[in-house]
Amino acid sequence: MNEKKLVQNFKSYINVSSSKEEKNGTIQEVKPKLLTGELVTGVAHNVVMLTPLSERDHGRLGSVFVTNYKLSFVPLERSQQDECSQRNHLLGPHDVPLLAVGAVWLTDGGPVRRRRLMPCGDMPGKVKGLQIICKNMKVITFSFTTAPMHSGRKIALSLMHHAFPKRHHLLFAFEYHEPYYPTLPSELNMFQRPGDWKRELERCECPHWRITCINGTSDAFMLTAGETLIVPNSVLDYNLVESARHFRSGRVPVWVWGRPEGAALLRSGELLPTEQAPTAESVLLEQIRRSHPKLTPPQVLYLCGNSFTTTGSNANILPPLSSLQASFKKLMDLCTPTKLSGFWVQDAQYHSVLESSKWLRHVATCLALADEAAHHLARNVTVVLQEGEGVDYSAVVSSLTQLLLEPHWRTLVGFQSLVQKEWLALGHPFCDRYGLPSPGNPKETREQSPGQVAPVFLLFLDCTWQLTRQFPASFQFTETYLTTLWDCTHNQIFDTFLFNCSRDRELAYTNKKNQQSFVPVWDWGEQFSEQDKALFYNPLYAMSAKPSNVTPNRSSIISSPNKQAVELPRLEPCTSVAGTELWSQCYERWLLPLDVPHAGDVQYHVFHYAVLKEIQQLNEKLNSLSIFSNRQSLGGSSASGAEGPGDRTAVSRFYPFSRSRGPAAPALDAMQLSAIDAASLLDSLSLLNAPD
Amino acid sequence: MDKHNSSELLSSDFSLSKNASSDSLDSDSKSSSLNSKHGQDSPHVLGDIQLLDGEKVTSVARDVTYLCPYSGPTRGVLKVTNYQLHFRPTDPSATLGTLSVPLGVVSRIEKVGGASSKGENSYGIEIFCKDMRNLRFAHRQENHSRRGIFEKLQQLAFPLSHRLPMFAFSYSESFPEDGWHVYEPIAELRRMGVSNDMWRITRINDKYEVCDSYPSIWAVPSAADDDLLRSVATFRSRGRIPVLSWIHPNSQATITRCSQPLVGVSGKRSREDERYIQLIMDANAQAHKLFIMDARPTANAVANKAKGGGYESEDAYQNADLVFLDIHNIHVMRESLRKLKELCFPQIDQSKWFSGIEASCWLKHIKCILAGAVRIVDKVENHKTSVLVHCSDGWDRTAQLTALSMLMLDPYYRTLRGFQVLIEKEWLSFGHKFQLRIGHGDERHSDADRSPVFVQWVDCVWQLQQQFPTAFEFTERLLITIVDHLYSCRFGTFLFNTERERVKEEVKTKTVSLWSYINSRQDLYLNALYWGSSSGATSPSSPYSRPPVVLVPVASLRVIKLWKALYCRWNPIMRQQDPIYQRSRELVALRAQLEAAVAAAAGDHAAKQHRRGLTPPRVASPHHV
Repeated sequence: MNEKKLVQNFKSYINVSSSKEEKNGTIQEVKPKLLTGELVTGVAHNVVMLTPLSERDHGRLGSVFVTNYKLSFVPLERSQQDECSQRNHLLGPHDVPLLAVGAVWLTDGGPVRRRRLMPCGDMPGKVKGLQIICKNMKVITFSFTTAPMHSGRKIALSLMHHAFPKRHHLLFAFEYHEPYYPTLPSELNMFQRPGDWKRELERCECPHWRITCINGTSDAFMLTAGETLIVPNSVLDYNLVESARHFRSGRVPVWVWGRPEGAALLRSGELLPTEQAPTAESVLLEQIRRSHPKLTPPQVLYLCGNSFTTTGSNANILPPLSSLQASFKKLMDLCTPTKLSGFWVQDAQYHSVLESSKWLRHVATCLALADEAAHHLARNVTVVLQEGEGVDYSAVVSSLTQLLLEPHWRTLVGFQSLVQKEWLALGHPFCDRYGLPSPGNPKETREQSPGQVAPVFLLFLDCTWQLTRQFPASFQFTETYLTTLWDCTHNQIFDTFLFNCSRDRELAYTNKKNQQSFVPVWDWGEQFSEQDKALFYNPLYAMSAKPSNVTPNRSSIISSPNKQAVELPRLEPCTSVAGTELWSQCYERWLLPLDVPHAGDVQYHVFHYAVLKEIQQLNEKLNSLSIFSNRQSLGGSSASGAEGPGDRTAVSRFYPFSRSRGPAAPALDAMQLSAIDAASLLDSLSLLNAPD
Repeated sequence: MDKHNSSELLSSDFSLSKNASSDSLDSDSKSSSLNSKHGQDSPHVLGDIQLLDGEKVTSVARDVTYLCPYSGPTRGVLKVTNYQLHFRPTDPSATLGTLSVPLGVVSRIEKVGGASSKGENSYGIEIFCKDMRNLRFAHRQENHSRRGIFEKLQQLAFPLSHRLPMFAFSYSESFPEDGWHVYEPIAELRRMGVSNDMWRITRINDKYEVCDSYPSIWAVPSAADDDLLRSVATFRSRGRIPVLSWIHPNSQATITRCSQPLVGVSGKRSREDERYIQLIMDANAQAHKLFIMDARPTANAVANKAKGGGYESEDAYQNADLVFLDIHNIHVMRESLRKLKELCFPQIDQSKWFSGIEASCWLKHIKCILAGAVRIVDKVENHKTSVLVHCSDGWDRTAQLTALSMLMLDPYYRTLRGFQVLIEKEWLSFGHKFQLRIGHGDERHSDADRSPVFVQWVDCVWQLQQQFPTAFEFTERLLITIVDHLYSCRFGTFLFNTERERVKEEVKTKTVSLWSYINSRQDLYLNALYWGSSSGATSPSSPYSRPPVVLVPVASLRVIKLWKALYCRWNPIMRQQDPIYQRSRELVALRAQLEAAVAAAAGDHAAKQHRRGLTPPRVASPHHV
């Protein structure tokens, strides 16, 4: 290993030189793996995919394909490095779904960017190289200097055409017709039908609230929400329709969660500057107060500030969407260096750039607002979240608040139900936020509505990640799950994140050409094996499956010990910027110099998986022995015969997203655990505790 | 079953969780572990003062208010002993507000306000601590109520300035193991295979006459006789000649350390020094080169020529490559940590958090040191080339670099004991000036010789730990305990500047070693994830087995983190509420219990088959084996 490389801790891929000899040699052809309904629209052979963060001539030779679904690179010779620990049935290791393509740059064949290509912009006659910055911060650089004439240009044209569709029905989800057999767990609440909402209302035991389906009728006033809404018992549908005129997008406060003691969580849009608006608001707030058995008045949290009322207490305010997008762009720049030298240049001012991006500040603000809301709710005070059109930050804060308060949402299925409720049923406009055309609303270019594009959902996932880091045993899912979920939001096979609201979704359901149904992202078996799915489950969660296990929170240290009896146990996160961290697995996983074996927090997970597996085995052993004997101790033989963790395979920091580099891809035995079930662990505890 | 049950169950065997939760390091830093005996900090004595053996209360002040920057003013009783400052709130329900600060931590004491100051709590004393916090107490504004305690504090916190003995000489607790035996220089050299053909052990410095800041026992190239060593000593600053720190068990590539050569402006040369360096290179048959790593920035090295120092010219040392590692001096580091303290204590300014970290440069310095050590490791491990490390005097940056690279190269130093050996050897025996750098018992708080060099190194170790969670036998708790007792003056370990002084003051017989204390409760510091630890730990492990990996950390600020558990620990909102390593321990404990239960059940089962129904069952708990 040469000196410079070791110092910078850079491990190189094999060195395929992009030498000129290849040019005259025979062109070898490889084929991409295609899904049903997938068509190849552009091909280039003899292309070099440059090693990320290399200076120039490191790379691999292969073919590039653009299809109506993905951008695919197929290397000429397969190698270990083609395998990433997480394998996707739908996408190869070098594939990118077209919706994940963020920016495309022209290069001179090396990593140096020349000019950004815009959809519908002009294309130069010669394309020597392309650099693609994916939305999940992966950087792919192709060099066409060894490829046949014009093939670079063909790829570029095809990519620019298909990656930025102008009409919604051109999305691949409409072409994909693989048979799909849903295997979603029954506990997953999709919040699509009135019955789903009823189930939730009953689960929360909130008798003072009622379901209304008025929004599904011709009187609909909240066009971006589903047909079912939950409102105070005392509010008549007629009043709702009336009041809706004074709220942006007709977003009157609607119930999203409640507790049996009476407090509820509501979301609403901002008031319109009409004369009667404040009156309409106070009438509704009064109805909400009456829905509380103790008639406690609700707390309104203005997430983006408020022009009507002056709230001096609320210093935490979330920025306009355009600022959030700008913030994300800076974060993206920080996480997508294209050259090794650039990587080290960034390193020198890493923290100040991180701060100037303000991303973590927004994260901290969301956490602080959720903490505030949870604080009120825990004391049985109803909270109304008010924000813009009531579909963005209110979704973030509302979801986080529920994560803090109720252990149910911290399970994997619970989390998915939460996303269904807060983000899909209540109409977070995914098309607009991701810059997709929406049905019936073609877009000339994505840049046309710049104020609309913003990574609000990612902000939520990031906040959730911060919580999983602060409370490592309280969530059933892992950061790998969250990272994977983010990747999937850019995969247009799944319909989950493809619509602005349920109305559009319904329409698309009925219009889809073939009779195949859409595939929701939650059916993880469509993409991943059991092994990979096992990595979504947090081994520590099993240890603390009971909700009562909240470690003594710090308020008991600081504040007086007398608390109200109704106080709900909850997570009390650190909401200071100083307590946040950059979500390294998600944003930095493509930065090879950081991806070192034996490194990172993932080692904890691997260890916990291994120990948990042993515990399961011991449990089984103990159970089978218990059948024969009634467990009286005779002491004696030592237990050292049991299998130890043994040779723990070295995984790298960004496992399972690391490319394997060793001779043997780590097939972690411990990872073959199926979803770990808390019951089995508790079982073992009860066995040990059983009176003799 | 709820969690309460399970944790009780776990602690019955391990008693870890209980101890941990009442210990300063994990949950409540205000009731510090610093004054406690291991395992004795049970809740019923928490409120009252618990005295160590040899500790005496000397002064009591009632009706004092502690102005906590986080939870506000608390009234209570302030006591000063010859070891600690102890504050207990009057309100018995506020026992968590109990404060116990070893006087060794105190860097400066000041009176705040006068008898006529207006405003509540404006009259009192403020104590500035070496461990990144300040304490404010308010006294009643009558009868000079603070005078007594102020004067006692001055005396007892700075015994050296008042010609009083350090507390370590009064402290007399006994432990099952004597930590002074942890490090035996000959045994450690033997572990590395010295003496051998190329390296010999010399006692030339037995009386500390050749070099008064070096240990008595050195390992030097066999080919160098004592006369040569003596003449080399005249050419190296303070006689600190190149001697062996570490030798690679396979390639025989070495890490040696020394101080700068006395080149001066005129560019003096020493044939003997040149020959000696050549001998170090020759002792490694694998390479025809020697790397001299000068820790300083180039400019500083050049500037040192004016003071008679300098660096090896490549003309004089033909086969040596000189590399400057660009690590700044003690003054820069002191200033950097001061800025960091401003950032972390008492309140954190959220809007300037990251830029504040950058402006303090603390992490940049850490990066520099890590990168330097990585270069040394690369030369030794990958190029089989020997490396000579020095800075100006060879007791600050040099110690950081050699100790850090040894930690990366040799897994032995990553064990609990090996780490103690490493500190004893590279820091204590080679004369890092702990007394000067920390200023034990010395009231001159602005002394320019003070600098957090050792703490900075411990931070580097922590960086390694958090980058490689499975590589160390111990957790960060050990590191924090070491830092705490670096200041506390309860143990003799970090007192004085050199081995010579420690021998003269009979530290080994008159004081207790920190390692006695730590090794009496090793379980508190063990890392459940350590690759070497498995359930069947009975197999005899070779003490010098090569690591599965040489640790090569990433020296990037994306990965180098601020050690919040140390620098921000006084701020309750910055404490990790549910530390993950605690969870690992619980899992491991559960596994151990199940193993025992299975063994018991299996034995039982076998026995049953043996004598079915003949004897009445013996009643015993299955998991107390």
